[in-house]
Amino acid sequence: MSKLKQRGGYLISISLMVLCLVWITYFNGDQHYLILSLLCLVFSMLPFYWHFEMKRSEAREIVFLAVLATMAAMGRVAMAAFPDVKPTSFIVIVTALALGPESGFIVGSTAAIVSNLFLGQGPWTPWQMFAWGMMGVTAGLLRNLKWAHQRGWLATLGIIYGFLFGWIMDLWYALVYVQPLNAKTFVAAFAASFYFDLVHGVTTAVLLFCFYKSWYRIITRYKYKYGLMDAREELERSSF
Amino acid sequence: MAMDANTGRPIRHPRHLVIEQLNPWVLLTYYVAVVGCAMVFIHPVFLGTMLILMVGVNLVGRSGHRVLMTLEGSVFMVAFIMVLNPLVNNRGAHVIWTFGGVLITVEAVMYGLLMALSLVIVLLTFISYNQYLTSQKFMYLFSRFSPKLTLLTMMTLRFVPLFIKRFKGIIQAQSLRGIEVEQGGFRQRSISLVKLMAVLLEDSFDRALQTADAMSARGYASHKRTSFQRYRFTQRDLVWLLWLLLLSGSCFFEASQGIGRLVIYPSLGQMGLSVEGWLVLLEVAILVSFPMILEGWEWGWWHLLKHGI
Amino acid sequence: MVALVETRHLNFEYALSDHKSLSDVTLSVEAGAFIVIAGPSGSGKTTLLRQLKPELQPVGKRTGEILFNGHPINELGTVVSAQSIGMVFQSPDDQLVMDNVIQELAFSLENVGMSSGDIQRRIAELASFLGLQDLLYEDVTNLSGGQKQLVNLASVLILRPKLLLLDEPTAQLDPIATKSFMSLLQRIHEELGITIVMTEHVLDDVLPLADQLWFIRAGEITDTNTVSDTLGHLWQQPDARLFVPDVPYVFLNNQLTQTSGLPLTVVAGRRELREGKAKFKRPVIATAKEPVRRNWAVNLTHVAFEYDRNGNYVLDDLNLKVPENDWLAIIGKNGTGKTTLLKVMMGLLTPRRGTAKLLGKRVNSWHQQSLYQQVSFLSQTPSDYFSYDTVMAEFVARAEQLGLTDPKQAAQEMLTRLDLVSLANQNPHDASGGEQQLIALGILLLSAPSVLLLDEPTKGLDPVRRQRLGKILKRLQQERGVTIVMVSHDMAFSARFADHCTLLFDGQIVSQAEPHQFFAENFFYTTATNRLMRDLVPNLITREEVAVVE
Repeated sequence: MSKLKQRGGYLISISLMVLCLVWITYFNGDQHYLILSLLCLVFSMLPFYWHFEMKRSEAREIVFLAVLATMAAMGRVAMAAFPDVKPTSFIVIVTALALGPESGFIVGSTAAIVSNLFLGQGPWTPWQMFAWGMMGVTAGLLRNLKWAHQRGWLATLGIIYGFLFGWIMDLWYALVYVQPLNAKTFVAAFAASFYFDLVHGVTTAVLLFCFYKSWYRIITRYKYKYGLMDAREELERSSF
Repeated sequence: MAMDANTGRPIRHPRHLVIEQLNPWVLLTYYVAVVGCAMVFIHPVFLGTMLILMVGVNLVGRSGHRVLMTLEGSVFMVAFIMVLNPLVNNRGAHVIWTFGGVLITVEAVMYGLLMALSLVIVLLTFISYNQYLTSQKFMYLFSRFSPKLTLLTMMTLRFVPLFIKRFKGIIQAQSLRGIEVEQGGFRQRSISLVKLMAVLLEDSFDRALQTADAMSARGYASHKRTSFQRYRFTQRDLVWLLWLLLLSGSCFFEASQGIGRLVIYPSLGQMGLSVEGWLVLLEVAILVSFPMILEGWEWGWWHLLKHGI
Repeated sequence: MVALVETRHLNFEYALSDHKSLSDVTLSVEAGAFIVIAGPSGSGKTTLLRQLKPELQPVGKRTGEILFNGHPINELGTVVSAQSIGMVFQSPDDQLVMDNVIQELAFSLENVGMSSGDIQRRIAELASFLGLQDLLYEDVTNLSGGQKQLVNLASVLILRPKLLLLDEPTAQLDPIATKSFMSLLQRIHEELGITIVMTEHVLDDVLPLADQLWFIRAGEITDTNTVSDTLGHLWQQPDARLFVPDVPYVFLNNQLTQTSGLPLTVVAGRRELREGKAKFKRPVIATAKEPVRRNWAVNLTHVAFEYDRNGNYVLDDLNLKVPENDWLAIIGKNGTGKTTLLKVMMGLLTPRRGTAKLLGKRVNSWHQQSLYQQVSFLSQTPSDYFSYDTVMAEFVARAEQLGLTDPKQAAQEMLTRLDLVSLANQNPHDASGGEQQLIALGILLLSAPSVLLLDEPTKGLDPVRRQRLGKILKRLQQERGVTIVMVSHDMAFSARFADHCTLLFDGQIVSQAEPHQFFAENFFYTTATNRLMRDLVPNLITREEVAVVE
């Protein structure tokens, strides 16, 4: 039963996905890009939220994530005076590399909601939640690879993430408001946002290059100080 | 949901509107219905009416200034949609212009225009949404489904202004010990700001440990959490909710029958509206004017009361 | 009578630590008791308190028994433990979780799975008991420190605990807020019969309420007696003597006769003094020779300051002159603009009107970094000054930045001077509050400033560290000619160490005088010693000064 509860998110996601496929194949669902795309967002994020909601976590874990999410959200809210420098992506990536995909996802998507609570929600909010959330997930999956922690590679990763993020954000209005959707549409949309994505990517790359090490060290240090995740068992093993 | 980043408090408005007193679920229903209508009724008359009404709703909420700011900010996106549609779409019967194999058709231009209009209405709706559906109401809606995530979001929301304040203190303290962020070029300054954010991170982790302890001490994670519901669902809320549901249900049903939707492809259809079309337009107008109706009602009540005494 | 909480031969050692933090602690708390645990910082007070709350027991090796109502404490269910044992911590800000008061109160009850209706009822009831009605919908950020701590206490009380643990709950509050928090505790204890165990190192206000005073030192409980017995025993030990509050200190120090036990309050002390009929010496007040013409280290003329354009002047036509090599204490309750005054002095805030001069030069005409080398400002949050991983690295980095010839040497000297050698390789964030204060001070002192501006330097320090800080600062003043301007609500500290005191009220400097004269003229804003002695010798202000005529 508890296993079912834990995995419930996946089940719902998969059944939603099947329903969508049926809808597309038999009922011309592919005409309704918006609904379809929002459904896609929901079933890609649901398993993470579900798992987070269902698992038992201590106050320390919640607070720890809240601090990181605040730093990331603050990157957008407080740096309004510096339009080019938005350390949000940097913080999401570092968190993910230090703590793993789930934490990365939670920090990324929470930062998106919260910063929009200050800057104003809009139809873009779910897309930003998705974009930063997935940035956290994918970066978190890389964390066991050695090269993912080297500055040069990280900088490249930063630029790639800058563009991927921009492309996802282009999607939300291209999908709904442009018809028909074809390669040309996307190329035009991507070209239009090229400069912004480049700046975003370069900033993230520079920040990762300069500050990755020190931030990674701080997060890891406090992971042990808080006794989070596997840290507690490791400590107990080493002291007895 | 506009918040002041310095104080973290919702930006206060001089007087309370009726819509602010309604249950958040009623508000949410209204905004979902309006956004739905803006996306479904792709017709110049419908969209034009909704645009005017939505501007009116925002004026009643005294956010005219924000409307201008938003319109200014979305010029790029609107233009992009208007230009891109005809460029990538060769469908349509009436060709205006051809160059290098690209056909520009009346239909595609019309589609682009209508889509841009629809986007502007959605953006205007969100201005009003941000104003009335405050962060606390948002959390209330949220907490039903996901108490833990709501808690996390709530804490983060509270931390942001706190951290900004602390960050200012850190910038000051660091400059007193000789570490400057105000020097150098723009990029240089930004980079040193991020460097100081590491100091803030450590400091905040330290303090947050006590927050975590205070939470555990008060039984966090000892039991399945319940959620204390602050907003009551009154009879008035029920009446308005039913009203909104009926109205929007009927609108969407008519839309699915093709009423109020301009036929664009393959060939631009009739602009004119049937009798049924005008009725649906009236329904949509009443739906969108919801906050104005509430306000008018209130005004009338006080007005009549004053004269009655 | 069965004890509510008991420990038997409790030992505790933190993970990765090489010594016991608690050793062989055997104690028993009876239901309905009010117990104060005192001891120097780092003696294990907090560690002991946390052992009594299963959720907060630190990671480490524990032997011995802890019983709650006769059963092992760790066998309490999580919900039962949350409800029957409440704990309030030091920092008013960091304990808050939600965004407004009613949500904060509801948070505790939501955690234990209570229904919305029950939550509402409990909030209604508690709000009436504590008089919180008007605050219920207030944002927690708008509350004062004292109000925040009240909310923190309320959100524990709402669970209806049997045992209330408090870890230095008033360390961050000003004297007025401290007193109202204490009177609330008294009500809770007397009207609700809740058992209270509280750690504290400033004992003046709390001892009159307590049944017992326990003393802990290096992990060992040395006293578990009634208040006057423990105080008498502490008096025998030179290093614990500092913990004895002013009124009993005067009595013990002068071996005054006590007809009805050791007095703890001013009123009890005065009664004893009237009956004892002892005669006291007048204090010797050193009047420094005022040179004909002195240079002003700080000179503010007609300074006005407001934060918003609302015409609420925090400082209003304020004039203040501080001569070089003086130590001035600016006293006043929280929220009167003391910190603002220091920041205006330092040029961190620009006055709306008037001029601020430092060392004879207008603040805004100074080159910023050379000003910051000449004049140092230490804020209430020393951790804001840290940037490196070890204390040594902090000092070396600052020394290098100043271009000192031998940075390592300079850093080493500073460590020695401030008695921080043992912390050299520690992360400054891991140091205790008092140590962090000294580390930040060390960073600032490396540039050998001639003026020091200090914002509440004694906040949260235990009496031993308080005295040590006072002595270090005094030495700086005497040996290096440093001018010190300090903002504080610690009147005993100001009376003991400052050369002049002044009161800030309603945006203006109200009086500026030598401490004896200053406090003798005040009626409310004065030291406990002065309040005790003023009928006999009006200008006695520190407890060390009180002496009987033979």
